[in-house]
Amino acid sequence: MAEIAEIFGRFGFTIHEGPEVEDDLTNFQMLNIPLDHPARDLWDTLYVDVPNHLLRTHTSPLQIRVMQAHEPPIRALLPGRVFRYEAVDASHASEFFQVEGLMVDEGTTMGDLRGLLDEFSRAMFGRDKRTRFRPGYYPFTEPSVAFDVECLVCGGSGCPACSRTGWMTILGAGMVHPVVLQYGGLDPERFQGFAFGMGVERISNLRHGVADLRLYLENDLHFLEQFR
Amino acid sequence: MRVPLNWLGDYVDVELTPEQLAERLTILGMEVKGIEAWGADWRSVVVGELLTVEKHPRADRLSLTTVRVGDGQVLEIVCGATNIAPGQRVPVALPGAVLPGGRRIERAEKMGVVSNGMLCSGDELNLTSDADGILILPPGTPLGMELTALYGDTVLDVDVKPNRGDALSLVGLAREVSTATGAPVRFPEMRLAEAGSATAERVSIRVDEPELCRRFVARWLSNVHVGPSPDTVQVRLQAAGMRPISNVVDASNYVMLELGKPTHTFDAAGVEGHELIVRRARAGERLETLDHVQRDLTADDLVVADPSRALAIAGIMGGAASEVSERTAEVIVESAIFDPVFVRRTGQRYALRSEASLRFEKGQELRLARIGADRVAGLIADWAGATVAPGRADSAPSEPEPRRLAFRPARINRLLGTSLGVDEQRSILERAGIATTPASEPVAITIAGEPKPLSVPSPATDAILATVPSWRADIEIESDMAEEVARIRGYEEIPPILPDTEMPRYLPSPLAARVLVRETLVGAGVTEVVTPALVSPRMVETFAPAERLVEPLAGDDPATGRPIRAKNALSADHAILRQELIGSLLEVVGLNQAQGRDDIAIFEVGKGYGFDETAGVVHEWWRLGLALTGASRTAAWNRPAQAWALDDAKGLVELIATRLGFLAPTWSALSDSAVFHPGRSAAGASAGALRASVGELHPALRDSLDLRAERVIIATVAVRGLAGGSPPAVKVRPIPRFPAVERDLAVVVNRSRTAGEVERSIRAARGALLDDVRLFDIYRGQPLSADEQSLAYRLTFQAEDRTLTDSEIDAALAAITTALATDVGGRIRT
Repeated sequence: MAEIAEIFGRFGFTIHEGPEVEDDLTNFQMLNIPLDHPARDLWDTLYVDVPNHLLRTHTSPLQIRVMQAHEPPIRALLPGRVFRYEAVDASHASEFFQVEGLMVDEGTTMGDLRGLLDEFSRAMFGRDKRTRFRPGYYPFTEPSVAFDVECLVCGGSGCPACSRTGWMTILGAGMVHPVVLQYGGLDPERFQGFAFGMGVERISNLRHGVADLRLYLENDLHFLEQFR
Repeated sequence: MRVPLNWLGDYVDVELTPEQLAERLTILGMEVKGIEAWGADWRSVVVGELLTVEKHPRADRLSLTTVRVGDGQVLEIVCGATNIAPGQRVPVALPGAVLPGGRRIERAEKMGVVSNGMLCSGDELNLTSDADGILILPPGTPLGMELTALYGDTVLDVDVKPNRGDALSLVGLAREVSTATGAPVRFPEMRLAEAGSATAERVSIRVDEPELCRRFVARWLSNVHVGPSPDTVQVRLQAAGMRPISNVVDASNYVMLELGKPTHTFDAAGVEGHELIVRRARAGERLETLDHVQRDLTADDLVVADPSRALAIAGIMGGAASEVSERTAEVIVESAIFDPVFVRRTGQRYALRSEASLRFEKGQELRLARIGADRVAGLIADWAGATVAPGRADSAPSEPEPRRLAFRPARINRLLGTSLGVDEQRSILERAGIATTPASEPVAITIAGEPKPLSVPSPATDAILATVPSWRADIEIESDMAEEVARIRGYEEIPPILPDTEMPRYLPSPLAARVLVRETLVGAGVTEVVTPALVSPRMVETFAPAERLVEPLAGDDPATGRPIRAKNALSADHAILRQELIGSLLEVVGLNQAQGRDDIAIFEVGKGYGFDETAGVVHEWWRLGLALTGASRTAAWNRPAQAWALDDAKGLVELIATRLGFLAPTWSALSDSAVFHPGRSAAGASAGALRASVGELHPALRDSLDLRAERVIIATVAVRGLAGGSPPAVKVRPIPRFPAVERDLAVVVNRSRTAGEVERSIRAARGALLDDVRLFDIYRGQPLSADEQSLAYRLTFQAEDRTLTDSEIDAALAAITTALATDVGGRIRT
């Protein structure tokens, strides 16, 4: 996490935080995910006994909070714990950490997004690793992006770790959706920008070669002490 | 979605390797998650011709066959099936063959006759659902050919995103292939041979809920001969992950995969009056669904019914009473457009979500109701010899014109960071079947749709009008058009640049204090852990927020409110949000002890959570938790092992206070806590900046948690800045230029007095000159009385501007002596 923050810090991204017990409006509706939207299936949600609240399923509601609190230009990094209604296995945990990035002003383009993500990949995974910028889908971005890095195990030739595709997806991103900009209190004709989000554990797995996400919350010291 | 490439080839020519196709689809936004060699698990299964079929000499139910498998080689094989005859071509598993599921075929003796392999059924090969008979291959199939070469296929696993319901179909994916390669799409042949009296005369339809069912189309088929589908159809369905059932049901499933249109087939004999009604279910109404479960329906369910009862839950599942069976002779095909939200809610309510409901949930274009009905009818006619009645019963036959959407090429360039010409953008869109024309008059540009619509006017000279294909419901606003341009051209063509726009005004990092705490503790040999915030109810009861830590430090939330429960927790161990970190840390201690680790020093920085019902406010407060047990220093040749002790924890808290630029905390006794050891614990405070409870875990709690250490030191600490904000800059004092003077002072106090109280009294009375106070000895025993103790302190005096004189120090000591007498009843031992 500290490394991710440091890399984006070089580009003027500062950190903002927010509540983990989030309201449904900010977690979903203001992010262009209405009730009963099929896209809600992408987030299995844990609901709590506080009216209209849930355990935030992603750090994306912080996009709304930052836009409401700060005038552009915005360059924000939004880290935090998120929760999912998901059985725990090697690649899923019901609690994990995400980092969201948000950059909004009058002239930020998809080219800026790509350039920044390339730079992030180079800093995190090495200058020699190829990257791939391809279409993805999120209700709160349009256009949406999936960002891949060349498989860190096989180097792109195809292996079980990358499902023989040669690529590993490291994050999702896109241009902030006009609906989201409006809920953030910004005029989408004037302001535009991008957001990206990644799982901290996933980045760490790729970097350190950890195969099982459960290790993070189990806290066996034999595992943890290797990160000193 | 599973895409068998042989089947896809019906709708578009693919002149790429499966890997190349997968790459092209992925960069177009149809991510290929996997490439499967379907049929790769048939090894040594070849095509053979039956030469003779005779009764087995010793077993009535078995046949003795001879089979030619190419190259003139003839094998004797024993077979139990009854559908075989000389001249047929059949799949032969040779000795050494491996079938799906890992079944190995060897030469074996069966009732006194050696069988040199096995003739295979469709089911044994996972090709068709027929388990009784041997799979009979077409007459011209080449002898000796590997079955893999005959029926093997490559199946792509495509992850279709939720906004592209249109691509949950082979035709939809063929359109994407066409966009990528330029090869034309071949839409399935729709001509029907209709005969007999018209559908409209045979079946009537009524839609009571037009909002929930925007179109309902029915078709009538007579002379239906229900039986298995052609083998090639069964093979395709199997490869796509669907089990073949009968020619009628398979036709419906085939069209669902081909066109993305779920349809339903009713046995007309089970539909009273041949009338189909779309209505809400009535309270108390019941329906036995195809899975033979009796379901109690609610008014929130949409059903397809006949005049007397519900026949099917719309879009979810059919009913048993009108199910197509071997006796069915007349079939009504239903092809309807149901409301996505309704289908989704109903599917969730009954935990019934299928390939069909999935497609309804994503929305379906109106045209598909007509096309789907026609296609299913055509296939049933082909596969079941049925007669298609002319025409359709259709609740809403008019089909809307394709939508027009205006966009500004310059705006698209501004979003993408490109400089594509107008014509270039238009020709890119053309590849996805999006026709464009320059706007001839001013138009409105749709910037955002529901739930927060916005549109702006654009002068005619700027805008391009696009005709959106009817199946592309996902293209609604100008940015959708930008994505379309970007993805067809290739995201990789977007030039990467680094941001050069204005920087934000600087904001401090809220992580600064947390980072300092982490660095300090890690440097002191303590390992950071991160544990789940959702814990067991028992843990929350045991470890409530300490009362003295409730009041928030600047910037943080108060540690109040009732615990917050997850309503749909996955397990009781992770059902409620914690209010303290200590319980979680002790779990980690237990886990590591179980792993054979006795020396454990861990910390966590995390939140506690509570809901204040009266104010209606959720509080989330930050804490540092510590747990230390076993040896802080292991034994070595030159030193004994040293156990973690209370003082170590206090020292760590002091170290943190110092690193964050706070005053060193003062300590007092921690009274009546069920968590901490009654005698070996302390409360620390540094005014407005830090509050801590530190101590040994209460022995009773240690035992009930089954921790095997003699003592576990724990701490919970509220620290200013953990919740955000920058730690204060350390203010530098001038380096002392004059010597310090040390004096030792032994104070006799009652044993009930704590060292902290005595120290506080000294500090309070110290005057400007006292620089430091250190407890260096405790003495109990003669000549002191039984309830007395002597605490020895070393005091350091210092002035910034002069060397202190004896008389100044004596005066300070006298003040301290007086204070000790009044504050703690202490006297100076001489």
